[in-house]
Amino acid sequence: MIDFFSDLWLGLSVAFLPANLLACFIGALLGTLIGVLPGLGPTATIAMLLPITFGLPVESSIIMLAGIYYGASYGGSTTAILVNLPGEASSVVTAIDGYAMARQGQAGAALSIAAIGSFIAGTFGTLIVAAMSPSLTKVAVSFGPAEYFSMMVLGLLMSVILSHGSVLKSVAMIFVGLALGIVGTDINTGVTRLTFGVSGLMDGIGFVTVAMGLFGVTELIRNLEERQRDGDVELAKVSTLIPTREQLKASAGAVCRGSLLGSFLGVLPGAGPTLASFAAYALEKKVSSKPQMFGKGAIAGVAGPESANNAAAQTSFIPLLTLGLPTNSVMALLIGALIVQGVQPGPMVIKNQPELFWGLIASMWVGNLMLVIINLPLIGIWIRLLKMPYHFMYPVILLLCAVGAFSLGNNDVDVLLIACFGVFGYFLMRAGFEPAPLILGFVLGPMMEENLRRAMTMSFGDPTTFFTRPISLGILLFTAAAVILMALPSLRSKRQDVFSEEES
Amino acid sequence: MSSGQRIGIDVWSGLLLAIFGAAGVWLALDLRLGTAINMGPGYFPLLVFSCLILLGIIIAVRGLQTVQEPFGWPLWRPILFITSALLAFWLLVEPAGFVVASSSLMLISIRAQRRLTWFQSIIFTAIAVLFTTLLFVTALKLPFALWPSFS
Repeated sequence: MIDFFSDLWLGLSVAFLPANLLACFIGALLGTLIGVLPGLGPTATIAMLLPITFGLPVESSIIMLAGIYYGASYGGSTTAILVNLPGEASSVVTAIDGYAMARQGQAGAALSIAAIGSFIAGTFGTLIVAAMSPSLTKVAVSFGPAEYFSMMVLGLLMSVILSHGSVLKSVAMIFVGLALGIVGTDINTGVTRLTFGVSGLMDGIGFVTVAMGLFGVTELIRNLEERQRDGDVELAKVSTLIPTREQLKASAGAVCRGSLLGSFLGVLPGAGPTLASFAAYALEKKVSSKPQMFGKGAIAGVAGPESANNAAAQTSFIPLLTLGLPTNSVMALLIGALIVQGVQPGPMVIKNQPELFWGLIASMWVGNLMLVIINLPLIGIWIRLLKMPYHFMYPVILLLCAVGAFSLGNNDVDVLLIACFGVFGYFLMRAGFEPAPLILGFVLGPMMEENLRRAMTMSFGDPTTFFTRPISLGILLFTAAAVILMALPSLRSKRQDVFSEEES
Repeated sequence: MSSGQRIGIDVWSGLLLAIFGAAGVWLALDLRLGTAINMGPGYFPLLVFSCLILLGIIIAVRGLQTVQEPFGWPLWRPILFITSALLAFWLLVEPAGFVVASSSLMLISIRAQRRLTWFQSIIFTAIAVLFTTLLFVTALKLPFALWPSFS
């Protein structure tokens, strides 16, 4: 217990260094600035802003990224509430009741509750991360390649369960991601694979390039097209930010339930914020005394999911910090950023770089605090930004993408690649394929291959090694259970229910 | 779904996936496969691309069994101007420097919507390029050449 507080203290003392505080502030500000733009969720925002963190020392840069992440999530919720355009799957359910509230003139209350709920949930999530990570790290050290491989299989399949649309198509996307991950030099033998002789591809395709193309450029094209078809979006008015006593009362329980549920679901590989927000919405609807209000502006329908997705956002750092495994596309970006900074995420970080480890955990909390005390009062500015005509915004966003892609490795091929992935992502979307499993497959691919090779070498080519090692078997059984549950007809229709709610 | 058609987007995308997988298998066969104990560079790619062929075929076959909505073709304006803007930046940034490359990107991408006149576009581009230059090249010191070098 004393360890727990001294560790947290170490983290806070790193996070509260003026330079890091400033980094977190700038990150939260820029993250909100981009995240508030319709259609740009946290993944696209982080991908775009990643290059500006490269010049900073490792702690500051990761702290800035944490700020960007929370800023972007919050910006996404703002857009979801005010214009009914969620930037990422995790704020889709927020839009249902948030936008309904906004149309009744209660946008301000919805925004405050979202921020406060997120902060409370974030605090709770941070404590969970701090309490669980050290002991989990000890378990993680006993993980061999077989366990890692099974864990990644679990993560990939969970991402399928969570994606909308066809399961088959999502699995196909995972394999396309794995295939793209093969491009580059094979680390074991030094042989170049699928590079077609292009020297810019020797180091493989950058994950930021893929994310920027699939999430940033694709969204830009889609947005422009929608505007050409339907004209500009309408914006709800914001009067007072202060929620009424009844609203606070109605959301208190939802925030607590959301925090608990979100913290738990966030740890599961592949699950994370999206599942958490959907589950919290379903839970709130179930426990509510007035379930008929949901969809028509129930504050608990904003408070629950927003708390849950933030708590999950927090605890999804656990697999990243203890195992070095990214469980969703945002974590995949962070892992890439860590590697660029020369940190190999995994169980050794906590031992070798305690300032970084605890600094990151503390700064997640500081990032949340930043949102409440700085971003919420600035809501007027974000609204003005949302009102800014789109024809002034998208060329600048595109320029940011191009500069960002180029500066990743001073490689002009990356600019070409984001254009290609942008068009590719656009057609994927039109054909009903989801980009999220692709990006996860892409990031996990090289790690999977490496661990598969090692596991097979260690077992002398015996593939049953994945079933005979107890931890690996446990993970695979869990995976199988999840897949079977998903295949059950009753649950399948439920999954469609949850996802169809957003469209109606 | 009376407007549906028999060979829908699922069939085509399934086939494309299968072709992509087949191309990958063909390329992977050039690499040393190795054995399960000591996998060569071609082992994992062969696995992945074979699965892709299989998945593509399943998607295509299932697509044949269901009647689908016709595929809505994209509006050409956004997709064309956005990609050409990026291509222009890619082609120009090395030979002509940051200012020329980013100005062309801005001017081309603005055309994706018909909102600004040419005069407004030029003013807007000038302001945006000035700010991004100050931010990225002056403040963040990203290694861009600002102007074309004639050496």
